[in-house]
Amino acid sequence: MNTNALFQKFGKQFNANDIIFCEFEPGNDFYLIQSGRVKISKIVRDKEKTMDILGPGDIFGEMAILEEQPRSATAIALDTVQVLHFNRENFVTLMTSQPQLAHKLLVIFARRIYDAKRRLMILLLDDLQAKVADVFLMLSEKEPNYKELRHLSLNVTVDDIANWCGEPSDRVQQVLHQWARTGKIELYADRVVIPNLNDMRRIVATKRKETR
Amino acid sequence: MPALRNYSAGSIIYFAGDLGDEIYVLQKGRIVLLSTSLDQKEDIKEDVRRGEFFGVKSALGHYPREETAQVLTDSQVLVFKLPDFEQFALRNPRVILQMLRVFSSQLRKVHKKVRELLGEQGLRENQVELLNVAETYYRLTKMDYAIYAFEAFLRHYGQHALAPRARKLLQLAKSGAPYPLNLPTIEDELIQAEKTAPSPTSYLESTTSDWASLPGDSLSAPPLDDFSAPPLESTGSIPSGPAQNYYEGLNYFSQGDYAKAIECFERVLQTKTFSGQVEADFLEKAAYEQARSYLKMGQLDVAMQKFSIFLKKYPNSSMQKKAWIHIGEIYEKKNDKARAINCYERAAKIFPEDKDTSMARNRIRELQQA
Repeated sequence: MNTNALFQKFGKQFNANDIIFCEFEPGNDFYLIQSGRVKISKIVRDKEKTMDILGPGDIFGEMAILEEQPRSATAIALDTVQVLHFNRENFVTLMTSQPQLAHKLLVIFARRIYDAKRRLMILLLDDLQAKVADVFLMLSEKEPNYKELRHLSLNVTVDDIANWCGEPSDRVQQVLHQWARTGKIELYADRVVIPNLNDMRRIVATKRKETR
Repeated sequence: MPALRNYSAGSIIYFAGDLGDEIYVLQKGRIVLLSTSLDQKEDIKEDVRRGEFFGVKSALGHYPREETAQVLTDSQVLVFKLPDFEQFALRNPRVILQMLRVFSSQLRKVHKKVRELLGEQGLRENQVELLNVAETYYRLTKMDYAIYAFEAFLRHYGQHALAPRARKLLQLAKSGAPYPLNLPTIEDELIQAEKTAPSPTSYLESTTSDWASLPGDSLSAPPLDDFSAPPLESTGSIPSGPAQNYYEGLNYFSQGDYAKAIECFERVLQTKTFSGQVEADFLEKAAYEQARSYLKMGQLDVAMQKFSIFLKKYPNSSMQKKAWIHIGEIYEKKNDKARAINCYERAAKIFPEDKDTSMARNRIRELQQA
């Protein structure tokens, strides 16, 4: 099937500002953007937080194919957006007729599995300080040369960190303040600076060794 | 093109922590993958089968190898660079589809684990979260999004205890009014709803189909909080006989007065003469609703008996599936897991595939996991 025939069959158009699906809404379609941009956002503590902005060739909503779980985020069209939409039923047809899409999805899943496992490793630590330190390490690993990295500036909030730790914000805040006092980190309104990542590596390594 | 490469016994193809862009297939020999479990508590050793891919995820995702690939006996390996692998993928979509399935089941397992670890924080149920998203958009004066989310909530969970609240807010949002400041919080209203509900809210609340909801429910612009209005009045016709009794029963049901509802449905069931097929159809619906009322009252045995009679008497009824689910629910309440699963399986087999089907499947899965 060529792209045109695909659009005839599976195409859908949204206008700028249309909501495509909403966080916590049940649904099992997933979407491939043909043209336009889509904003992925979440409600976090009474505020709308943009998680990502996607463009042509990007895929979203694919988690619904895997899990019968409601949407984990809201998708909103930023411009006139053309998408192909698929569901569990026509998934196989699509994957076999569009192998480059299947390959792309494979890459996305590989990444997702790693990110989810990495997140799980944080949750499996049973010490709060180690969890917070491991969040910083996880974020540092997203930098290209993270192994040589000594110093890091992160654009995150306490709520973000608490969310990754799976712990209440006030407890995480305590840890951050304590570290700020001893110079392990520097706290600013919009970012956290970690002067020496090896401090964090040490904290996590000690705790991981204990559980072993 | 993928290349053949030979490794001698004892050598290492890659170490955990290495970055690499090669994907391998074992052709000949014996290779093991050595790794540590995520909680660092145990060492894992996996044999690679002949013809099996390894090193796929870390190469595709550009992240460090999670395991060490050790060669046990002299081995021959097919090596794909990333572009080779992509070429291979384009020519072998079935193989990729199979890999996708494996990946997706792995991903599902990890997600499940994450949810389990986070679950203790007392996350609210998804229905309530959806309503909260709608209300948050409302407070942020993103009216279009709020309206969408309220409508999504009502479409999927029209029978939820908080549906009247959602309906009211949807009306207000549509009229452009600001978010009402004197509104109790969702939590307060939930606690209130639980107190006034005669029995714990059943998960089946959300599965009731449209015909069973009150007339006011299915109109696009229902009067606010208007549950006391006589049923069917809005359609302009005044029902009589079985129809009237049936709707009266539904009305009592919605108010939680199941005893009165049962009486009304009983009057329908006692009707001897019907003026046509439409009226006769009320008999079927009343039989079903009466069984449901007994279930709501907690009279499990009577409810079970009534549902069984219903199933026998109306083998072609569109409510067969729902009836099986209710019986499953009764067995669950009686802690008879095996029979409950059996009933859900019966329900899941009934055509067409709909949300009741997937709910029945969910129950089966949960019971099997429990």
